[in-house]
Amino acid sequence: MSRKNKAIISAGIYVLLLVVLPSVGLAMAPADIVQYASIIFGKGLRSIVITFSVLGIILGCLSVVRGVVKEESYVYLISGILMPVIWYYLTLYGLGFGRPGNFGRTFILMSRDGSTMSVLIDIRIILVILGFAFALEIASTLVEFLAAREKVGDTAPEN
Amino acid sequence: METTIVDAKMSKEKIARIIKTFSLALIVIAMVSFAVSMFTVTETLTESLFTEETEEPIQVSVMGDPISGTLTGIASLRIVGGGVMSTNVSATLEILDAQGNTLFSGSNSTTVSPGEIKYLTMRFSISDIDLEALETLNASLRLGFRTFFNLIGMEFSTGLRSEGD
Repeated sequence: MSRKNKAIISAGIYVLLLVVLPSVGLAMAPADIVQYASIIFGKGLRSIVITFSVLGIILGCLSVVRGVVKEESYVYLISGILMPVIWYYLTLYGLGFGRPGNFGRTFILMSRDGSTMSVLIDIRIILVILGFAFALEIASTLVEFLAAREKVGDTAPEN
Repeated sequence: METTIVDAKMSKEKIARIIKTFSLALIVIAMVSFAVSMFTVTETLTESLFTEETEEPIQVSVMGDPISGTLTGIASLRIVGGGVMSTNVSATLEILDAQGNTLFSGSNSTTVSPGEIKYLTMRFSISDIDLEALETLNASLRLGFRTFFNLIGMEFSTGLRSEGD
């Protein structure tokens, strides 16, 4: 399979997973559940789905760009760096229930029949591991880019 | 000379591939750890607190001596280990008077393995209080469930209120 085809398939998967499925899920969910979830998370589910959709479209576009441009071009490098960064933000955003700044310490306040219960979810270690993983992904893109540049330099006609 | 350049290029591509493999392995580790930890915590939580057995998960017995003005009691939490990893369960109990002043604060913790049943108990004693005048007693209970080397967990805080007769 060519690089271009792979990129188009990846873009399709990004759009399906981050744009289509969340939007369909939100549209099919009962209104009271959506409202209750929005109260619990302190953030509208609609705005979370919109953020996912926007980032999904950006990831899809970057995937197509990476498949079209040459490996030695700076566009390939920049898109290769941007993709893990966006993925990491998406992870922070998703696991933080719409609050990426909490960095894995999510606080949820629930009220029922006059009594209040707060829940604190701590998953910082997962985000630290994922941070390392995405940093390695960027490093791999850089090395790949350098190798491609060297390859072009070697094959270029000498004057 | 040409062979050396080709080898260097190959090694760079190889390095990139090795780094990518490490990155993928870390992503898989993170996802598996997250899934297993959340499963363990929620299983321990539901089996401990939302059990359908006849025994109440949280039992509190309080005894008051109006002459000495001492209130003693014991709070007991039945914990059932769930999931696939051991879970550290901690409980913090705070008893407050009607004005919000802390009368007692204590905590205890224990570690349960999957399938194991343990009791987390906390004894409290509050002295020099006017039990006759004490109409309401507020308490706050904080329960922590942690697993994966105590790095992943959930903490629940709730207020309890007992009305006097």
